[in-house]
Amino acid sequence: MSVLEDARDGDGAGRRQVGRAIVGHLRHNPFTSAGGIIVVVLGVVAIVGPVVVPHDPTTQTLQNRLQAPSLVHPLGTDQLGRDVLARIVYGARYSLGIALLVTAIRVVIGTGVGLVAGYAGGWIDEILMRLVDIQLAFPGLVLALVVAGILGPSLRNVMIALAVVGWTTYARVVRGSVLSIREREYVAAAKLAGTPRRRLFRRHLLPNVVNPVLVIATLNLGTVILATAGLSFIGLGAQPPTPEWGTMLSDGRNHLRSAWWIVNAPGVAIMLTVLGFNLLGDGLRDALDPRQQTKLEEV
Amino acid sequence: MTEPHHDTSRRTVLQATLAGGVGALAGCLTDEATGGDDGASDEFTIGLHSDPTDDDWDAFDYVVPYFTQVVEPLVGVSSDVEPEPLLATDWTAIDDTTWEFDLREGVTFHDGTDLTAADVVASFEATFDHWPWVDGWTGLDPGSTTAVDETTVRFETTDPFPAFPGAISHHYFAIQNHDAADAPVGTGPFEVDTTEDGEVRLVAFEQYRNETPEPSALTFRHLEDDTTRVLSLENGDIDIAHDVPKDQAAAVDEHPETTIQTQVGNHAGLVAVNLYKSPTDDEGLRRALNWAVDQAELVETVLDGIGMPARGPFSSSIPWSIHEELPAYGPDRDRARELVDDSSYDGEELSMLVDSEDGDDSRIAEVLQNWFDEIGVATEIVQVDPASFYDTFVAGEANLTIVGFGSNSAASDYLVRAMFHSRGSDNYQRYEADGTGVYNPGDEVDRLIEDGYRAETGAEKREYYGEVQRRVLETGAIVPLYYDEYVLGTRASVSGIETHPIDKMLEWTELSRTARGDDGA
Repeated sequence: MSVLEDARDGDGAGRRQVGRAIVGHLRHNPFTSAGGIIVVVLGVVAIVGPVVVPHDPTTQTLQNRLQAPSLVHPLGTDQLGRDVLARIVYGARYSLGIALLVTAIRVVIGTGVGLVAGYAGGWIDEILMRLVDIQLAFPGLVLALVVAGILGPSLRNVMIALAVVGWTTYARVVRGSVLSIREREYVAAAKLAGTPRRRLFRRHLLPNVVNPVLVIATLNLGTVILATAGLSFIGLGAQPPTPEWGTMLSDGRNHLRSAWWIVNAPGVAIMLTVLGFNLLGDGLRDALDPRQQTKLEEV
Repeated sequence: MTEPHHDTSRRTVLQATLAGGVGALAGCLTDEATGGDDGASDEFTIGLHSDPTDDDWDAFDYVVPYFTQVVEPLVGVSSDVEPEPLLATDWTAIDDTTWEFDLREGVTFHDGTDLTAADVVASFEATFDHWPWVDGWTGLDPGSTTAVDETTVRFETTDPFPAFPGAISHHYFAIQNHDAADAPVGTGPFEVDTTEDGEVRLVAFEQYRNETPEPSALTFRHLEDDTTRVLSLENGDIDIAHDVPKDQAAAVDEHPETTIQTQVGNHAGLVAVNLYKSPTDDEGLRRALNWAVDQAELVETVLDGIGMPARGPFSSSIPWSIHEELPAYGPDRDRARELVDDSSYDGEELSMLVDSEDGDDSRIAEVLQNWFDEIGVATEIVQVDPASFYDTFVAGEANLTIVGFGSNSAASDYLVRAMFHSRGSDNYQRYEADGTGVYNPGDEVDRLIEDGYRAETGAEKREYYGEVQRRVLETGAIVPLYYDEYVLGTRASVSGIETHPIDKMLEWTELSRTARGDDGA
């Protein structure tokens, strides 16, 4: 019996087994561990960093502009004399916060649509899935660009733009899972026993879509951070003086040769964050993939 | 049997890939430049931030007249921004509204046909047809240009406009042979050889005023990205880079094979303060903002010392600018704070509009935000893409807008009218809608502008427009920032460029190159 099958009816033992699978994978796979460490460190930096960093990310000292990394400014100063390290640390809050919020909105919308479409079937399923198809016909980032362009430049509008274009993956995956689960005997039995629909969703359907949604969401966090940075880079996202990593990249690009630290610091921060989430997401996928589990059990 | 075949195939692919990779690497590492090398060639490549084949210039068959010297207007612009003869050798005001221009004799178009008054009439009519709004600059209506004879053209302006000759020195009024099959056929020192998207190649016009230009060919290439343009110059792909970003100018100057030339232009950067939107409708607050700004520090730091601290709205290179006579506000942030306390300002956030593509202005906005914050005034920076920036500005949506304006002709009258007259293009929309505007101080300034527009002499004009500048500053309708200084990057071996206050009128006819080794490069 696979981990997923154990977890299917949402009993505690199954959930514990899923947890053990994830922890086991984290322990034995160095890449997943590295991803997990990066994400944890980033989280700590975002929460605690601003308290520890001695400089304000928006305080300008024009006389100290473009200073190379030193003990006072470990990552140097930017073109307006602001401490780059402070901006990176505060920027982590924006990047992680936006990524979490946007992904949460995507998960809620996508899971809701997928559950309804998969469970209801018929014309409701048809309409919802055609909506998904229509949205998938547009390249995600281009659509986000259009939405952000229409709404005007701001971080809030970037979040809206990214949230409305990214929920379709969840909807399709959740619908597929629900379609296979709703025909299972234990679901039929629950229905025949008169289990209320809300309880049916909560106890039998939702627990079975948690794992794929978790994997997609983890991988999505990196994508959202990258997209936010991209939209901010072209001026549609964070407005000055917000220390957002994409904006920092854009502001510093003319100093690429004379003050490398201005561009490299946010560039490395973005790269590490996306790498961390991708490694963790890949690890989670391997740990929670039922086919992978079957292979392990066969071994 | 199939396995060995597969192995051989893979090996072949690997070898081919390796060979290709080595070839590509060798290509990248070669010292030979694809264009603009430092040999003794008399061909030059110039990298422009703007597109020399911009779609907006369909009237000139997509060869932008700025920089290229393919077409010429009747009137040129001297180095002190005064009108000077070009295709016209002389002009006379017959009466208050009638002007006659005598064409230079012996001028031929690139296709060999002679320049006639009929060509001038056709060119002006084509301009009015393509850009209906430019007649407002000149006081001309369509149909008001006539050929008196082969070499005399008459213009009838709707109102007296003594600065008319200077107004038509703008490239919009450059003369083409509209009968030619392949436009643009002009009279300038260079004629079009080939064009492709973003690039135009010109060759010397041998019959140009009996003086063949030094370069045999010029190529203008669109290199929009600042860093790419600078790297292209340093790598020798181009010979001249126009509009080197100020924060890279020092690096270009220090590079052993490149150098820079700078010139204060007639472009001024300023904050347009909305006089009709709360809370900047309070004069005390507007004056406080002026007291908070340190133009010298702005130029020294944000603009890397390239530019002039401004005192007024018009660059010192414009003849009627009274920059030297205008008093500087400060900086004095204590006084600014007192003014804020005395004003009706109660802490609301002022919106500050800035063009998202303009790096200098974005940085200036952040510095201003910091200074305004020091005097207790909160601002929110709103970056808008260039396509909608001007529309957002004239719609009067922002309290503060960072703008930059300059004139591309010898008569900058249209500039003062556009900026500060209630019916000028910057204020017209709001003025028509509700009788307000954006940063037009009102009837009295309108009258001064109209008087300056009609002024017969330079001294008179300076008096009227000078008073406009004083009023604009006193009322805090603007916060002056800087007078722009443009940076031209060139290969060290290139010489013969004489800078001009209007960068779009740079001349290339004397360009020459020292052969590699001769200059010690």
